[in-house]
Amino acid sequence: MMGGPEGSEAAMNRSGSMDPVAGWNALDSVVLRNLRVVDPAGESRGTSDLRVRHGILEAMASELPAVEGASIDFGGAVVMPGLFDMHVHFREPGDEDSETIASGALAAARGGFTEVACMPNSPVRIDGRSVIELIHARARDACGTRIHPVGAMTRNLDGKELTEMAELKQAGAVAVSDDGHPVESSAVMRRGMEYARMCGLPVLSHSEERSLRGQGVMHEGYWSTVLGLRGIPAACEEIGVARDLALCELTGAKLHLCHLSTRGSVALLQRAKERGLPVTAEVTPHHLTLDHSHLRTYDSSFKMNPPLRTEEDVAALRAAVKIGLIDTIASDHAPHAAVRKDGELDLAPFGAIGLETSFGVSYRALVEEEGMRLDDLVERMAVAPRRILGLPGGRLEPGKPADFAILDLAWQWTVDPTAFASLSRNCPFSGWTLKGKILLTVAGGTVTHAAVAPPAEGARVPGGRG
Amino acid sequence: MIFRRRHLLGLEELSREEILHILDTARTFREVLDRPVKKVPSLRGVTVCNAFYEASTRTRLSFELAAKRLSADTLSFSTTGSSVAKGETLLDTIRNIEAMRVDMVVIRHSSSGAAHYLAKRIKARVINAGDGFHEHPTQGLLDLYTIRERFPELNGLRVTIVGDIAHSRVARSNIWALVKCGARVTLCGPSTLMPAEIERTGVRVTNRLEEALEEVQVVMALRVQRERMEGGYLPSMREYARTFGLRSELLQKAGRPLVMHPGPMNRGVEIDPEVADGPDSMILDQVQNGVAVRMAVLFLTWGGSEIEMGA
Repeated sequence: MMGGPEGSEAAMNRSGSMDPVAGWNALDSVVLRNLRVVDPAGESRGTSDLRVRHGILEAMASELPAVEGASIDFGGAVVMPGLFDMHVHFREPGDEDSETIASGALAAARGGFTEVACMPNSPVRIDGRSVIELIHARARDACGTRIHPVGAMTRNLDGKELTEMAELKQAGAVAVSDDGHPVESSAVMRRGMEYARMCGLPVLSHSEERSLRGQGVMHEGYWSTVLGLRGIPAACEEIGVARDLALCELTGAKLHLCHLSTRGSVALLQRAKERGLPVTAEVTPHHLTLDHSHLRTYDSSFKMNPPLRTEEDVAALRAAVKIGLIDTIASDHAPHAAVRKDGELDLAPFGAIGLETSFGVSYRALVEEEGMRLDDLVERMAVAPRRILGLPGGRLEPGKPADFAILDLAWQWTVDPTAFASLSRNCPFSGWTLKGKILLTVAGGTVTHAAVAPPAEGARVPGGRG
Repeated sequence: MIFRRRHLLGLEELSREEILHILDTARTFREVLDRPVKKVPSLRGVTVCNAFYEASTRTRLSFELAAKRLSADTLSFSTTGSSVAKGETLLDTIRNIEAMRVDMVVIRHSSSGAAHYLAKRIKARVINAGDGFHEHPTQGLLDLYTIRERFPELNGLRVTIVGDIAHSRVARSNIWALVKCGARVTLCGPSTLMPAEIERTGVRVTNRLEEALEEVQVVMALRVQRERMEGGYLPSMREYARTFGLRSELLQKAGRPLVMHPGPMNRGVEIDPEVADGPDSMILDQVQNGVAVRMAVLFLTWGGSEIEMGA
């Protein structure tokens, strides 16, 4: 929609047919008609048309006249602000077989995400300006998804010396974290939080008492016993959460608890919020839907840290995100090339990919099964992450660059990881049937994903309806 | 009954009927082993590979002998350390073996689930000869066979398993086999070596050996490894032996139950020599029955039903 670098020639691929994304971007102006607006941070509206010109959301009203160019009828599909996933792992630099900035950006776009925050534990750590600049450069060449690096809290994630957080912030880091390598020393964590607070950076904490995990590979409980796999008790996370909450109180730093997985953690979070601590939290779609019994086939796609817990934990996490006690849903998108991930379960690395299924799985778990309002789900996935990180956006604002996703809730699709944009296939939802296909993603004025062809005059979405 | 499984991965997924069918088949083979010519032609032309990724003497020899007694061709390899450390993946190694037209793979591996992993990815039959802490199904079957010879009625039988349950695949396979057949199973061991929520498998748990031995008909001791002290699970072998070792006077007091051990034994730690070598010890019977049980497992997973008794 920018009509930018890609002209209509670039829109033709080798076979001579139109690449829909390039075709969309070749349009100067388009009216998207008949969209149900779900904009939890904006004004409440019913069904509207959106006019986008040169990448700007120009107007949003019912029955907009088309000034020039094309229009397309979406038949009542949902338009929502671009989703934001504040916890992803793109493996570049260092492990480009598992994911690159470009492939990760595309996976995000397919999932309806216009922005992501990527964690610093790539093989080359995000612990200095040069790596942040490299990520920004790669992101400029990618599809248009905005990528916000999260800086390391300690050099090389060693948990010993603090990084130059002021410079990280200046270079563009939106937060600091030692994700994947929880800071063992409480003294280092304390200083890191104090320093991050001074720099105006939230701390994203992978809270875990490392020694209690030991060689564990799954939740410690009935199934670890049956399967003969070493367990990771719930207390492993809860001790970490309790410590980090105590340090939050001591330092006054903004603390964001990553990927909570136990009902005990939820209870600790509730108490901390009641006492007014500056704490927020996230949960992953897999912890909202899967429990430890899924390990019974020894499929390493179900091996993640924190591990899949019990049904009771799943229920507590759902209830917490429904009422907003857990603020946001983040995928913890953790790609691993099959050569490393597909093998003996105890030797496989932790992690599952999630960007391309995050919305659909969350919709099923929370809206379809728990009766949560779609508005609230969009709040958790588009508004809350930006609020936590202090970033603008998260609403449909005329006059600003277009940043939204269009969602067809009537379109059912079956999850097939081999068709993903991600380079990795370690998806625990393979074979699931999900409701809600992302038809179009527009990030900062650029179309980053299109499941529908760009319109000719007065077109309708083929097969699409809301 | 017709045995339909192509693999034997664990006893958890087997029904009571399937378990008893294997034992009944084993009894026929047990008779073969008492004859002067200890061989039947049942698996003639079938090739069985023993892939042992973990040290083992008894189980490997037992499987090898079982396959030979069935007239199968056998090949074996042993390697220590994981496949990853070796540089070639487990799957690549086994696929290479399969490419040599091997029909059945008997696998012992330190990773729980290794046999499941292979069974999903190769065409050959897979027999689990012990995977991590998960299961050792043929051990569970031979133990049950041994018990059943003395106590034909398994329903209501009282069996106690003593030792490091958490790290024992033998314990898990025995629990499934015994519980499915109606036995009343008690587990006894230090709390540090008792896995989470094990009671949900239908067993009783106690830390007191005397209590565990009350009115018991069979007691099984498990090997306890020295590395459990380094892991902080046990203060000393001495304290373990005094608290959980099977001693003669304790067993006398308990009415002389049958004594079993899957081997290899730490004499003087989990079991006293006079108990191991005493009149109630079934330890060598277990080993002897192991060959017949493994013959039955190879025969049935290959798809055999009628046993030809000629060589």
